Amino acid sequence: MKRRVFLFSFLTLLALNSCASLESVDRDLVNSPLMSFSEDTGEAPLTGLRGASSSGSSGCRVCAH
Amino acid sequence: MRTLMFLISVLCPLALYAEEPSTRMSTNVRTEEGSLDNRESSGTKSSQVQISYDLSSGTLRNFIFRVGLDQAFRDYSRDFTVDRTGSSQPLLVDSNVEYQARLSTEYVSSYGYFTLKGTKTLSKSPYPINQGVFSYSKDFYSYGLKSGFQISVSEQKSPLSFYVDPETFRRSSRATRKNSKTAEVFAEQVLSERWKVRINPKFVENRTQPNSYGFSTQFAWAFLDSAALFSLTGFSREFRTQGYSEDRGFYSSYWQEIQLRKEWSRKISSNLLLGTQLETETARGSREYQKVGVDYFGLDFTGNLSSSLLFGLNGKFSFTNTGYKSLTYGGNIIWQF
Repeated sequence: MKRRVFLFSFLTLLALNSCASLESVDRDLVNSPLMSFSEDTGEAPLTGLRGASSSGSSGCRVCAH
Repeated sequence: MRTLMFLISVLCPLALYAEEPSTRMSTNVRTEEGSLDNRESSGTKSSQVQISYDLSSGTLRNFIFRVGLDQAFRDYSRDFTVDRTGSSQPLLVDSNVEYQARLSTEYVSSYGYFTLKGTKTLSKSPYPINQGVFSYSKDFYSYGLKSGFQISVSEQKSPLSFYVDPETFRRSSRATRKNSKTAEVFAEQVLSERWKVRINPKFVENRTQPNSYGFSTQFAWAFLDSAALFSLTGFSREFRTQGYSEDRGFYSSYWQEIQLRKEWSRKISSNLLLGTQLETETARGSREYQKVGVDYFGLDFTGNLSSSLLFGLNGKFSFTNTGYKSLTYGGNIIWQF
């Protein structure tokens, strides 16, 4: 629990600090297509224990389907 | 068929308002080898066609409509179900060709970016799926912070099959209808001229299996004006406080991925990815604690042949410590007319 509180606090402070010091930052590069984040957050059903098979029989228990 | 007719009847009139319609066609092939989840794997070929209407004028200003039709050739020859007596039966299907429709609407305004998506299996399938997704995002602090949320509801059916309960040794039927609701929020924060971070907590409510939660973090660093490095870390776990579902233990997944993106010119860019994923399932009955590791490599290219013709090529190879191998490759073309 302590670790979660620490992580949350750290990220919040990081975000607040960044917002405060962003006025002079050039955002053309960071908001360009080169640096666009993937919507796929990595937990796509690859293989393994619950991975969806290619035949469509999705066994993925943590996916949206 | 009724859904298809409905889509056509709705989209044809919309085309009259379209300013910049575009068509996207893509094809993907996946081949597999080895064992996956206690059964032999098989291959699949699929192709998608997506048509987009960008309505930038008239009464439907700021709306973008997209409709997609996926065709997939699926091989069920190695799939099976277990009947009430405990014997395995091959899965019988009328046709290996399946169709899935995708419909989405996007709305952009000063209040934010709204998206509504729907997916539905149109043809007969042993695993038909219906899914609806709503998402919203908005930029703050002059594009220094982007935040939003996504809610999705899905239902997937599967053929009737039986299993033996590890505690009572009674034979019970597996759920033939899986319903889930997913809620997630995200925040993308610009840290400097070359650094950016995205955090993504997620919660999934399931009707027929334990709920799960997850968290992922992505960092992006532009070390050159034309190249960037991405790091993605995340986990997902089922709640241990809920009861077991069917004959399975509790599932967890952890993953780490590195991506190198490079713009070779104004026309061509590439993306190289390396990743690893660890999946575990707690012991249940006579089934021992299980751990499966997946490593994967991927490479894709995107480019534009002309101002109205774009193309993409992708490939991905993954393998596990259990001997399973998978190769996915494909391509797509976007024609804006």
